[in-house]
Amino acid sequence: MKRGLLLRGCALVLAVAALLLGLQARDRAEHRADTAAALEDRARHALADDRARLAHTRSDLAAARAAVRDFGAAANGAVSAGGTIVDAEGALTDRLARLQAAGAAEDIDGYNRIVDELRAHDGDLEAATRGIEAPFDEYSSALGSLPTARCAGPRRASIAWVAYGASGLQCARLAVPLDDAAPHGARIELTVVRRPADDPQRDLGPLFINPGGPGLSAIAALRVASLTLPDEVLRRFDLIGVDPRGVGQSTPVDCADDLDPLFANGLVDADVAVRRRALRAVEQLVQGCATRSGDLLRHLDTVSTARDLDRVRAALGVDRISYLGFSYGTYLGSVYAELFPHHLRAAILDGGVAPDHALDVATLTPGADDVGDALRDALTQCSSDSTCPFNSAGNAGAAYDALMQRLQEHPLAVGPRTLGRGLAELGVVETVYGGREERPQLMTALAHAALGDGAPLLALSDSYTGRRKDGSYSNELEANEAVSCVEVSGRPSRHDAERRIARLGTLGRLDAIGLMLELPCAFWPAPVVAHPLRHLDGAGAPPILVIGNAGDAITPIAGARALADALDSGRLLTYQGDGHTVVGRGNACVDLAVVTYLVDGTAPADGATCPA
Amino acid sequence: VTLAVLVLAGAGYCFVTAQRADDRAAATRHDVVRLRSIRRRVEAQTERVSHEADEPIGLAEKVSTSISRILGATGPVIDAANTAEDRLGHAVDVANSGGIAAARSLYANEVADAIRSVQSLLGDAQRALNDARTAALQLAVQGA
Repeated sequence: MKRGLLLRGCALVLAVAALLLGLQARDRAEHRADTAAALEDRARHALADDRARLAHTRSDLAAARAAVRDFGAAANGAVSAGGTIVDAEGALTDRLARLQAAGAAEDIDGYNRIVDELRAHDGDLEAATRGIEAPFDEYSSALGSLPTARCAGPRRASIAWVAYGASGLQCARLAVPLDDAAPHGARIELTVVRRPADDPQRDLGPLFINPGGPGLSAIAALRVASLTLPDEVLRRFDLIGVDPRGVGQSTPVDCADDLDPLFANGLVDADVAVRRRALRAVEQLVQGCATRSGDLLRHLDTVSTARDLDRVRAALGVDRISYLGFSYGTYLGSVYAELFPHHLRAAILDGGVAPDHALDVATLTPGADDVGDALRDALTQCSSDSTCPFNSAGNAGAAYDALMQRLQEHPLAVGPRTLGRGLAELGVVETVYGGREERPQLMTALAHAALGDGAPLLALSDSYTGRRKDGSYSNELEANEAVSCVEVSGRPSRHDAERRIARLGTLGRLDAIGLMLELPCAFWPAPVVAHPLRHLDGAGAPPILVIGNAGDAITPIAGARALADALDSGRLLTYQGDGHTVVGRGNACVDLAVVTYLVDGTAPADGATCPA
Repeated sequence: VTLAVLVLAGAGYCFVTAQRADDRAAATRHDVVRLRSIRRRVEAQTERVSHEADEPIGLAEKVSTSISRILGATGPVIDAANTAEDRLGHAVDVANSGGIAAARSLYANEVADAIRSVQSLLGDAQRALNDARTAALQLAVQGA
């Protein structure tokens, strides 16, 4: 009996042990299955991401080919003008060689004939050099419309360089936290492009480039810098372009496929009901940002972007970086200097903006004083120049105001599109970036518009907004609004927007575009950042070179001065010319200061100047 | 006994479930391998298309750098031509003052050096022009 009980007990114990083992085996197997399922899920997402990337890359290819077709004529014009220069140089060289031969042969008559020939063609080379300016400018601006190739490498938590397109550059896709406060939470992607130093033996480390905007692609800027920075900088530095979060090839902000409603002339129509309808369309478009970009919108502030730069620095495995920032990029650079002064080797802030006004509401309104002044100057100059295409019997100012009023009331048809007042003003603003050099282009575009052809002004505004010929937009404008709207001080409320639309009144110069660029922020589906860094001094950073153009209407020289004063180690260099920013524009004095500072570490004395 | 049988049946069920989960995991892992292999192909394809998309950009940039090289050479060409003219003028002065042998030496040496320097700069500019023309032609082919 006892034995039977014992046996049954043992059987039960064994059965329980078997059950426990079975349960354990099942749990382990389920865990393995779950892990595999999670892996599969990640692999499916990654594949979907890669397929989307491939689709985008294919569309880049189509866009690049279309752009090349468009500017083939500009390329031929530039090459032909280059040929004229080389021909003039060849003729000069030939005459000099013949002079030598005649002199050596003591052929006095022959010698004198060649001297006469030389004198007759004295200005040929200078004239040929002047002759290339317009076609080369046209070509360079066409070049800017080319899309940047997409990085084909895998997305990693560390830098894994792969070849970047056909240009000898390298790129990597780096995963970083969306939210600084949640380092193990959701991830976004930064795309980093590197142009290795030409002289790797004497490499001085990475030089990060940021073109500002906010919203402009640092990768596109790197490609331009590869063509325009002084040779010594290209020899000694690895150029690094990191598209900031929300921009270009890094995880981008996306709101809508069609951004035209932002500039609809209906927003400034005489009928308030039309204006209200247009405002609703803006609001709907902005709501699309929340749908398409979600949480990203809350994390696009400058501090997060500066931290991203430092993550890239760490991923590159270097202790210190050099930095070259333009316009809003000067604010990003000064925030970096404030947060990571000991990781900065050198910084050039070109087109400096005062940190306490870096992103106030005036940055959204190009009707601000300096842009308005630049426009007034351009119109006054045109009035006094009878050869100016928009001279308008010596009263270009009045003709301009009348034209804008006409465009507000009766937009011009340009193919299937229309040119209203806001877009026309945006075209005007676009030319102010280039300073006096671009005034002829502006006056020609205004003259065309006055005669009923709005295409040139519309092309200028498209260049500002990144609108392509097929009606799609680059993400510049969305990224610009997204960063500005979460950082801007004095952001308008919905009530402000509705009141402005209800009581439009008479618009002054550039008021229409000021209004249109401000309106999206009134509906922006992400809050303003609580504590933006505005009062900063970059304590502990090495000397920082701040550059300002005396005649810059976009980032006036006062901003550069205030930035240099705010930074403990700021040194101001003033370029006595106009246009927006100067590094890479070929000014010998500025180039020398840049090379001496970046390579030797010697900053110019504070308050130094460079002539135009 | 009944309890033991029931417990054993439970254990058997657990082992069967475990086996099924393992089969599922194996199938999933197989899928992952397949997905990764597709992904590698997509990545390679993306790299190829990216390379192709970058070609016109690279060519356009080459036109730009070549023209910049031509423009950058004009100043040095003018300087070198001025130097050559100065030396030619000096040789003429020397010859006019009766120093025929000295003048011949100047033509053969200093003047010749200066002209070689202009020719060398001209050669650079011509090479840049050729590069620009080739790149512009290739661009035209790409755009066609």
